[in-house]
Amino acid sequence: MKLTEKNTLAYVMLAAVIVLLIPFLVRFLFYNNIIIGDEPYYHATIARQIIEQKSLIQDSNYIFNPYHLVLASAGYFIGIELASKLIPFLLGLLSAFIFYLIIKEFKMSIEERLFVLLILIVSPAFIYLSVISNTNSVPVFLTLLGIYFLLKKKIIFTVLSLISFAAAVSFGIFNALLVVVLLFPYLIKEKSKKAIIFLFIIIIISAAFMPVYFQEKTEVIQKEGILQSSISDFGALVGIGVFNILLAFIGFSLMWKKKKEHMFIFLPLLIMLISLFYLRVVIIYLSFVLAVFAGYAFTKIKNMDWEIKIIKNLTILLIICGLIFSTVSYLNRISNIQPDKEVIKSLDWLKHYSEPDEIVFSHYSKGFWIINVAERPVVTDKMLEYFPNAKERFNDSLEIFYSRNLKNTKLLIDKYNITYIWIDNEMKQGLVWEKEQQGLLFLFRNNETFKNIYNNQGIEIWEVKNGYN
Amino acid sequence: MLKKEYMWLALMFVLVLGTRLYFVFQTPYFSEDAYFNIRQAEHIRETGLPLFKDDLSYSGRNFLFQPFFQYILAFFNLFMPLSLVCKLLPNIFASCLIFIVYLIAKEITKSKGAALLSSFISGFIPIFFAETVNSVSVFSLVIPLMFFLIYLLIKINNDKKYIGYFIVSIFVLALMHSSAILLIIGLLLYLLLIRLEHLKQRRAELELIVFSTILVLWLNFITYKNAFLVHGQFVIWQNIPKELLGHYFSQLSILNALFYIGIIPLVSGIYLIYKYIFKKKNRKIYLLMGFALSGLFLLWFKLIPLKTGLIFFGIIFVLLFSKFYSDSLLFINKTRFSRYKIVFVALIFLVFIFNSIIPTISYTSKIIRETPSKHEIDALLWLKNNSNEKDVILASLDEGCLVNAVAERKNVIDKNFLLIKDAEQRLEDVRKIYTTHYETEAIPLLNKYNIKYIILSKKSMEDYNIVDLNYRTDEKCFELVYDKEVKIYKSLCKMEEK
Repeated sequence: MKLTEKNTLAYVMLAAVIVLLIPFLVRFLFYNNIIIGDEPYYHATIARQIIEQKSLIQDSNYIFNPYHLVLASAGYFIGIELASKLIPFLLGLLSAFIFYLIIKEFKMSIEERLFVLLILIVSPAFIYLSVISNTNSVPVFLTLLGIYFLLKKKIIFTVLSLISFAAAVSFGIFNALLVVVLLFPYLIKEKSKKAIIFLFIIIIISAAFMPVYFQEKTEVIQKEGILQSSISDFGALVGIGVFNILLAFIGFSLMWKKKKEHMFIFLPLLIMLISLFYLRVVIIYLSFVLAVFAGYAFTKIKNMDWEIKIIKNLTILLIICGLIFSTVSYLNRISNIQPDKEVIKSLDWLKHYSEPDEIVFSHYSKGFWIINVAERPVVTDKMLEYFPNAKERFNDSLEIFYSRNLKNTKLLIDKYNITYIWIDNEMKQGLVWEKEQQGLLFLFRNNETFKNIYNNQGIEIWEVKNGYN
Repeated sequence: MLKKEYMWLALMFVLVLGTRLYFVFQTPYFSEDAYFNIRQAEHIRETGLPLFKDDLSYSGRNFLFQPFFQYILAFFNLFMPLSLVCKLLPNIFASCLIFIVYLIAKEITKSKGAALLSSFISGFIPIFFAETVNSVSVFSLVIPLMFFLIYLLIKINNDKKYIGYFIVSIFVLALMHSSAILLIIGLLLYLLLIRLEHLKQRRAELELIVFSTILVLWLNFITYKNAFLVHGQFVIWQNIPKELLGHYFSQLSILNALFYIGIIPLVSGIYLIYKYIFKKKNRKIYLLMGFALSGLFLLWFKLIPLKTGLIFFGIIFVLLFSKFYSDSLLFINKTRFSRYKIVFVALIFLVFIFNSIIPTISYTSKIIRETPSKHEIDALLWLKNNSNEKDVILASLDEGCLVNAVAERKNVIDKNFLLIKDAEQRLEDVRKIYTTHYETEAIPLLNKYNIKYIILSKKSMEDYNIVDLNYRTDEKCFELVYDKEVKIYKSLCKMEEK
């Protein structure tokens, strides 16, 4: 079958739809269509508050992100749950589409474009971007749109590019940095006043957003190593497959020979690799760049004049298997991550059992679910590091989890006005406790202080009897 | 009529195999490490599948490994008893190394004499001989196969018919053990050396190396994916507790190398590497140098266990020795000492006997002596007949696999640490149970792992430096149920937490 402009794009988009629909289908069939992960619950809570208050959140602990406005706007019309699924999905597809158009502008052959896009679509970071409601789907799309418009000559496109980049810049310091870096090769190439003004405006806008970028943060949660947090096969939720990296490495060495021609890609790559040490979401942007290298390498390997034909076929088969293996295993993982029906059922039960101002204590990674589904305040959640007394709060939560001293635990429970404690299997199997009867699990035996009010499928809710209820 | 060198090779094979079998049949039992493979082979024979989910090891865990070797054992078990298969087959495989070394050495030197001598030396590399003699070790097949691949890679440049053999062999190797990565690193370093020395890169060779790299990486990745998820990059060190890591992945020292590899291969190998880096160019030597450097690099950074690295190193150096030997003879022939050539050969042979054969014999004798004794096996068989199927038995780290294989009971710890999240804790707890003076410390730990019986063998007494359990005097809690050279205590008490 001959590849043409039209059918290549159609195949690519069809492949994207199929791959991205798999997690939604699994959730629909086996998980009552429950939203995947924890981050989407946070964004949904904020968006819901924006809709209810009809204004931005005024809470001093709130960290502004324009994504919440996008989600709230869409949620206003179609409901937040649907918007949380639809926005990343559509923006993921659109990003793939724009990305295709961009690499076309860079004179990549149809075959190269096909492989670049296919590799991008099956990369775990892209799947994450398009399946889970996250703050990166909008800026990724806007940045790609900005690049695409920038490559067009007409002035109207330059204006549109400026608008896209300006909007992307509002999402974070990395976005601002990336846009500036993307503009540098353009500036060198064009050497026009227009390009300088363009860059100047972007820098001004970025400067205006500085107070939003820099929020006080106390590092209390232990970060994983760079390999474990950026390679999906090593367990990263937002990561890249090993084979993708291997191919990209080959592609990089092949493209390096013409580095001046490919400055548009090498410069952002450098910034991304440096930023990766500080900001793990950079991996999402990196997946686009690596897809270019990997697709280029794959095309070269395929079209290379091999002396041993059987080795050529076996090698290509192995590369495809390697790429698909990472994708299948990631799709399986992302489709089956928490929360499941039991978690939602327990939180729904808690919502009806408890009073709205009663505080729930759990592991910080469970906080967003409790706030969103049970609609109850928590002691810690994943935004904990932005709280003014983050360290104290975190240490106190550890003390509550691990102390076997009832008096101390009661004091801390009183300090945070805790009324309920919510625990699940994950917490009992290593996330918090390694052994039975460890720390708080041991103290639960004291029925003067704790009362088990819910116990189903490993999820337990304990009521603090003498708490502030 | 058979060629003379084939007769010599056959004779050497008989001698090496005969020596191996002499040692191996001195005991009816195997080294502790062998029992994992024996259990796997038994399971494959019974069910057709390896035992990936085991209820006995660590009282229930999952195994990750490539099972091809165990399948071979199980296959031969269809025709003869497993104990005989495990005694014979690994030794036959390991002895076959001499043929492969002969073929490679002949390719390198074009001298039958040098090839025969180095193949004979390869039969008595102390570390390879001792470590594969009675441990049913996967390396008995992995190592000959790796070198067979090197031979095929040399031959492919002349004859394309070897490509098929290469593809099959690399598949088998990748399905057998993760150490295939060592081969890959060696091949990649060879490519680097070729480039650095500005030699022409042969297309077919490059294609095979690229293919092998992708295949081995991918198969290993599939096999150890779960381990990567659990341990991350630390999978390289097999999740071995820090306390033991130094023992397995210890630093390479010259003395170690001299003892385990032998002085002649080591010195001649180092000289040859120097010569071919700075003075001469030879593609085949670079291939071997690639492997020597990969072994050195991995050992230096403690990325492979010392013994694995030394086995690999030993054979490479024997091959390098063949070139050294043939070059030396050529050199002597050109001098006025040519009539004393025989003295040179005799001298080399003498040093070889002192430095390779004697260490081989002494090291192997030690290994055989350390094989579990009849008393230990009897004690384990007593447990098999007198304990409940679900009982957990405490034995020392080295004896863990024996408990699973002979007593067919659950253990607390053994040497396979991969995927065990609390390996460090278990190691520490086991040490505490054996060495503590207080039953108040021992009983909660015994309860924690539901331990019903404690084995106190000579080995565990030596490992923990004890003569008996210090808290055994409380007969209400610790009943001595088996009292011979090995003692077995039954744990009877439960400690309630307040």
